[in-house]
Amino acid sequence: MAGFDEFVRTRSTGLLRIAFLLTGDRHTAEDLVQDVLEQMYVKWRRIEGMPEAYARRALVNRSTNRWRRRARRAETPLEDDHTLVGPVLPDHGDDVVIRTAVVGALRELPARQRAAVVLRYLEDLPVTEVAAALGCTAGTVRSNTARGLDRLRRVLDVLPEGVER
Amino acid sequence: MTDTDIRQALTRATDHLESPPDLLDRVRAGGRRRVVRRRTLIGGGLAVGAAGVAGAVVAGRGRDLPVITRGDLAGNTELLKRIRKTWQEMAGPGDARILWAGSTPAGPVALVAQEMQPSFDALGFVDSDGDQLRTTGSSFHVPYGTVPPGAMLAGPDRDVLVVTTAGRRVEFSPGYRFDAAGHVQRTFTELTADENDMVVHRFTPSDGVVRIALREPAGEIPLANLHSVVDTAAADNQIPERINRDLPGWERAGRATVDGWDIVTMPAYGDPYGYHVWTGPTEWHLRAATPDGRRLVVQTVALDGTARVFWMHGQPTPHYLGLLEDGLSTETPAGVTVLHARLPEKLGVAVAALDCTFRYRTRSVDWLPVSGPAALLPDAAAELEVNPARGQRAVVPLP
Repeated sequence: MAGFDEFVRTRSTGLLRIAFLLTGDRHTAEDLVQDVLEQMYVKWRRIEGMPEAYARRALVNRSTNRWRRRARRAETPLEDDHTLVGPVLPDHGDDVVIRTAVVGALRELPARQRAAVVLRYLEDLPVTEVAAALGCTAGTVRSNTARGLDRLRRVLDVLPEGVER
Repeated sequence: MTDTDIRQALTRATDHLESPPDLLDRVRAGGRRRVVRRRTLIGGGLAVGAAGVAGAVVAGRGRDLPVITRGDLAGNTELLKRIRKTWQEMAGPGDARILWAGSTPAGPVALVAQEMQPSFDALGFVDSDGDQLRTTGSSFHVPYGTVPPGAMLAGPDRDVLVVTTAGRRVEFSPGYRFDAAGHVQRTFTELTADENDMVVHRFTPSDGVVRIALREPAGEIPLANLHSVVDTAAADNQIPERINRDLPGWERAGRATVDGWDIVTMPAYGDPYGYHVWTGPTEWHLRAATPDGRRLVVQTVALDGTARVFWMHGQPTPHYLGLLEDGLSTETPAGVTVLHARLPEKLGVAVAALDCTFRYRTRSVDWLPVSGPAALLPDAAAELEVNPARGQRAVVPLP
């Protein structure tokens, strides 16, 4: 399982960042990543050749479930302050503003648009790999990305003056 | 704003995050264990059972005290040995404590705990698949020596419910229905636990869908093997897409908050104690305005493969139209599902379909164009022409 250990060491922060943008909540994101990694640990022999793809797909699927369950069960609402809990690194004020805006804008997107935007623009993945993660066609990825980006642009374009983008 | 700007914004929004330093340890220790959210643990959501099985272990640090296995199979040492071996294939080496082993219509079932991290147990079930024993594939992360309420569906048909009640009143609902308002309606009856605080209850399963629910005074009861029961891998691939569409007029329709105009945020329309497969047709959330300037929302809400259709007008008070398949949608020969919800009070007809363009006509006027894949048509609309991006054109009557 040395390969698994290496995967966790090198990729868990990247996965956490994806999960954060997919869920809008740091604690949920940490739970989600641990959840997915535990699932991968058990299946490692079968997925060793494609752990990244497996992890991305599992993150997307499970984050969608969690978002939906949260909404249906009316658990703790996703307050803005809640999304900002506990940064572990020193934070610049502009980053907080941008983070709040990005999380808020992503929260408004349908799950697949959100995932398409995050995987295309945070992970810089090609359309085909995003399609594999979402289980849809490249055309659907393009349309979802375009819609999601449109929304994101509208939000980020109106950030207060003085915020360095 | 360029694509590069977007990339930078997403990067800056996540730059503060680093994975926890002990993540690898936690993952390795956990194996396939599902982790109950830490905040639930901290909040005391998992209490110590006062009697029965929970009394078989001592809360706190009483590791050197003998563990008593309860249940009618507690004396079957050969079975206990097999249970322990099966459990440890999932949980890894350690001191597996079999708290209960009993006969059920689905064969032997056991409740097992094992300390996985300092002060925490993995708690889960082992059941039977023919002659073979198997774990639930996941377990609960609980304070050492505690047994909160939990459940599993045992047997090849997953029709035997096994519950540890922790001495609490646990209620069971075999299924649900939608009432005239579109609420999920359930009837709960109390389960009778034995002297070990265990319940074995056989019920009639629904094909491919888990319709049961369990509750106790403190809230939900986790189902240890829900993911394997509903085949999460397949279900995940069918999570419906939600399409939010703001139609002309919505943004001008008043300055009041838009909070509340979304059914999925309304607890009354959820099913807090049920276990579901999150599948179903595409969900639509169409926001529009009527000519008098009042807001109008038409929304479909998927659950277990179907979808309820609601509308709200003027106030965010949902009105239920029915299930999507009950005259509120049509599947075209090209396989496109077209939502067509005719609203009361002559408010119009909400139409939507993925990757399609539309035209409509009334009884007296020929085809008129429609902008976008979703629209609110006038009440006089009688037919809808659907032109999918791929596939055959179809004309759908608008009943």
